[in-house]
Amino acid sequence: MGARCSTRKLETMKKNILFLLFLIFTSYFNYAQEKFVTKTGVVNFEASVASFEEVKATHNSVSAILKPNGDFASIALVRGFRFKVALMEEHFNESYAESNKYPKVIFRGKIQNFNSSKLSNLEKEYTIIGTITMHGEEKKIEAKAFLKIINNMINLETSLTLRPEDFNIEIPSIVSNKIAEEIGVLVHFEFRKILNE
Amino acid sequence: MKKKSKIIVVLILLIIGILSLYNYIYQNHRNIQKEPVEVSVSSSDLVGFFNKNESEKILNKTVEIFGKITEINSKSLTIDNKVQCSFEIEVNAFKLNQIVTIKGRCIGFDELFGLVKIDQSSIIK
Repeated sequence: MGARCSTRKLETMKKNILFLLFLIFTSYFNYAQEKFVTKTGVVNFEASVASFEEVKATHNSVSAILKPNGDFASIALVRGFRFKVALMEEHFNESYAESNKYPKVIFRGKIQNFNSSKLSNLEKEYTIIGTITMHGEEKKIEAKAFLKIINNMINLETSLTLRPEDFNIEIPSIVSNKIAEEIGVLVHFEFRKILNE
Repeated sequence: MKKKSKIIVVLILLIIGILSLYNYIYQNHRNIQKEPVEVSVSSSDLVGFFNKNESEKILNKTVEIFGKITEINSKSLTIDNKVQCSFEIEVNAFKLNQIVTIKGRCIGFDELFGLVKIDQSSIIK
């Protein structure tokens, strides 16, 4: 049983590696196709409760790629979320997000009906559908995204509401009254257009 | 008289307790700039840690890397297309292809761009 289990694990690992190779391959050899990228995306989340210490973190180097067909992928390294209070940051990493075990938050999805040529400096509303993977758990989400062009960059803004239990993150009862049940996430990406080299 | 001094002792202990609790809760952030460097490597050796599945040796550690600037953003520099260093201040005073040594905290590997990311960076030279 144990052996079968581990071969299955190996199989899925193999598949994952193949998929990754495929991704790298396609991203390298997809000539003459433009895409939109950022390495310095901003993601904030806040779970403050009135009259308690602010529970808020900011990440300034989130990576994201947006394809002309609306395919969208993003990675935030969990260690990169910075809190005002150092101890809060430590607890977030050690006890809640367990960033050594789960070092990244991944989003994969699609902006529905996306067409980069229809973007302008006037904000346009889109729907984004996808999956967030964090702390070893996956959660499907659907959110409104607002896109516009400023200085030749595609600005994308979206906000989400997440719950710690969606990602199997347990908040101990001793602090649960100081951390909101619903966590507000704000995303701001400024995509630069590049041609696939 | 004896009662009074007892009260004073209790009060002092209480104050010390509250102060140390406060210091614990509001302890300072790590100061990466002042911390000793734990790992000093080239950009490709830094990527090597992740390729060899040895990320625990450098994750959250203070590292120093050297290499050539290949991309400049307002608050980040990319070195040899392999390592992205984020700064808390603007870094416009640099030129492409300049050789630099940067100190910062390694926060992980980003498969989207194949980059190791470093935050709280500072320029060593």
